[in-house]
Amino acid sequence: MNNSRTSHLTLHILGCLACTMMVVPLMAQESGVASSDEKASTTQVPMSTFEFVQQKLDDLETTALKAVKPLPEGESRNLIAIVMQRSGKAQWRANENGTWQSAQVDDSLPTGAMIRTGLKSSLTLRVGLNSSILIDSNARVSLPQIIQDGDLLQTAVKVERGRADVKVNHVGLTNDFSVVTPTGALAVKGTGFACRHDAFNGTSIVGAKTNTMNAIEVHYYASKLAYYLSGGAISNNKNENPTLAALIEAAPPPSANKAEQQDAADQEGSAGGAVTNTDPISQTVRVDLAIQSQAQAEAIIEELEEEYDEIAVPPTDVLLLPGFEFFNDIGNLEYGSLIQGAVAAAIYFDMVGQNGNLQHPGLQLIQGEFHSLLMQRLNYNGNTTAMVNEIIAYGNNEEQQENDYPPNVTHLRAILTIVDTFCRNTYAGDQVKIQICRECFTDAVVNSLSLTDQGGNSYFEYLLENLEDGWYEEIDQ
Amino acid sequence: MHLMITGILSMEQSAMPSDRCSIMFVVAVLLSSLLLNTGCDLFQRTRVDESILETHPGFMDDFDFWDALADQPVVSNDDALHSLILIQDGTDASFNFQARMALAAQKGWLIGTPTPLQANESATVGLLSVAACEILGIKGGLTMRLMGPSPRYCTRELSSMGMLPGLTPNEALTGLEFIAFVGNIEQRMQLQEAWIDLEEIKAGKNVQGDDQ
Repeated sequence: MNNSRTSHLTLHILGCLACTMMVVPLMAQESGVASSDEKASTTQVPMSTFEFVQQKLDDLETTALKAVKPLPEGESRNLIAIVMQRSGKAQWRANENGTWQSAQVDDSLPTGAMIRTGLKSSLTLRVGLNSSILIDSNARVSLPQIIQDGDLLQTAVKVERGRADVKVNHVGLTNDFSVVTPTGALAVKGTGFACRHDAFNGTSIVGAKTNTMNAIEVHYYASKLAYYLSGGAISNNKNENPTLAALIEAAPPPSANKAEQQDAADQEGSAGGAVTNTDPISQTVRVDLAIQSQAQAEAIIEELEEEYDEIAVPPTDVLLLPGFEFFNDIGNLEYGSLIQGAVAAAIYFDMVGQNGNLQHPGLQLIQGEFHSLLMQRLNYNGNTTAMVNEIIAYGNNEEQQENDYPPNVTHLRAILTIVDTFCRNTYAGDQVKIQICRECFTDAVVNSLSLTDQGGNSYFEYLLENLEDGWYEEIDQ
Repeated sequence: MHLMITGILSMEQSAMPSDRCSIMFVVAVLLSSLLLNTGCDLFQRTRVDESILETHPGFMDDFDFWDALADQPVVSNDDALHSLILIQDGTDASFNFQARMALAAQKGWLIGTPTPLQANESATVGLLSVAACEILGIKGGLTMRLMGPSPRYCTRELSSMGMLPGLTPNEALTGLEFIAFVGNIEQRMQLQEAWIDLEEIKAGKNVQGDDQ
């Protein structure tokens, strides 16, 4: 009796443990993937509306961009490879001394992993953030390097024997992808090819099985449904981003089957419309963080949280902010504070233009250049008038009060603070874009005034003639 | 030796074809007897001490078999037949070399190859070529169609198809070369399967077109 009770209790405990082991990873996976989408998933929006799809696409963009952010200069991290598909027999081990284990979909392979495939087998991997590899049958391949170093994605694949098809996407970072064979090394800039090494022909390069790889990628993404996209939403220019483009690029072209298109049109407005369409781009697609495993997703979130924690600390000096270093550097020159003041004055005089009562009115070059650079680097379509007006208002106020003359670093700090506020408001929460925005302003000033260690151009001098006589000459001497 | 030197001298002096043939025959006989007496066999093939399957019976279906094969300086009959059976059947149920050879004979792979084979003797390119032609269903040119698959013509056929470099039927392959050869067979199998699929699609389209 006692024995039966004990065994019953043991079974009960084992059952609970089994349930916990099954459910907890699933919950963890869901929470990890959909963390950025929490708000959207709780909001009840009709699924077939364009706004809903747009919202989902924005979420996808946010999540994808988080994954491909460049690291600060000098920082690097090891990336991993994820098994997307396995056909037949394939094994991998973490390093030369590791134990071979059967490859399963979603396995995470660390840097240095070795892979081997059997007869009539293949293994497809997503390597790092920017590449996919299809390892053909009876091949021996290793991954000696998968690193992100700043904005550089360094990947090396060693093909000891057999064939490996490689596809490298452009994801907004610099690709440094190389394939090493026993007889040489190849560099890939952003394309696809297959590398084969055997005893008869040595190393040979042939065309990649692009369609096969695309199909595998789409199948893998589609198997992880979380984000709902539509073809119309993807083609929207507003949501242009490199990772999404890479994802779309990986998908085969939409179906030309008129019957399918008609079916899709008939389902417009129904909740399952997006799901039932067989067009892979229009299919529901989930991209977990960086198309990587749960482990890496958590690591990324952790890193981002740390980054945001750092950002939350208010900077002591606006001149030290990333993107404004130039203005700080000129302060180290002789008459540094005066030069910084001269630059501040020149910015103000240039922006005032014909609207003020200046003896030498500016041409508003800086604003034009700043806007142009924002367009070019960040695809910015808005205007910068409010920011410029704020700088002019500040300058006018200082001119009237005449309480801190001649202009100095304090004035420059005030102007840069206005610019920084503009960047923060425009690209709220995106530190990379904020930094690029600051760099745009710095470059706009440097380009317009041709600022160097030796001084500026004649336009710079012309603007400074608005100051009281003799002030600028003091620096010039 | 004196006779041989005399023969050669006389060959240089004589312009008559009949004299030259008789002298060549004498030289050949003498050379053969000399080689046989010293224990050197002209037709003896390279041997390995033990085939991989004899050394590691546990490698039957394993990746380790292919890794060990890659390190072999020459591929033995035992290992070659095991590999070819794996390619065609996916698994090799033969418990020893004799069973493997019987299966190979049944599949028609040993046509034109002197039997019985030795397990640890190097596999000839001719044997491998005949097996590949049988596995892939290669019919070859006119001679091969008339006379059936033979080591000589199968080797030439595979060479012309680019599956083998310019080798002769009596040569042997190293482990890595054999793996490359297996890779070529597998690639060809995939290609043929794709062709069959394409034909079926075309046939299906035609039927559909006829229906309409």
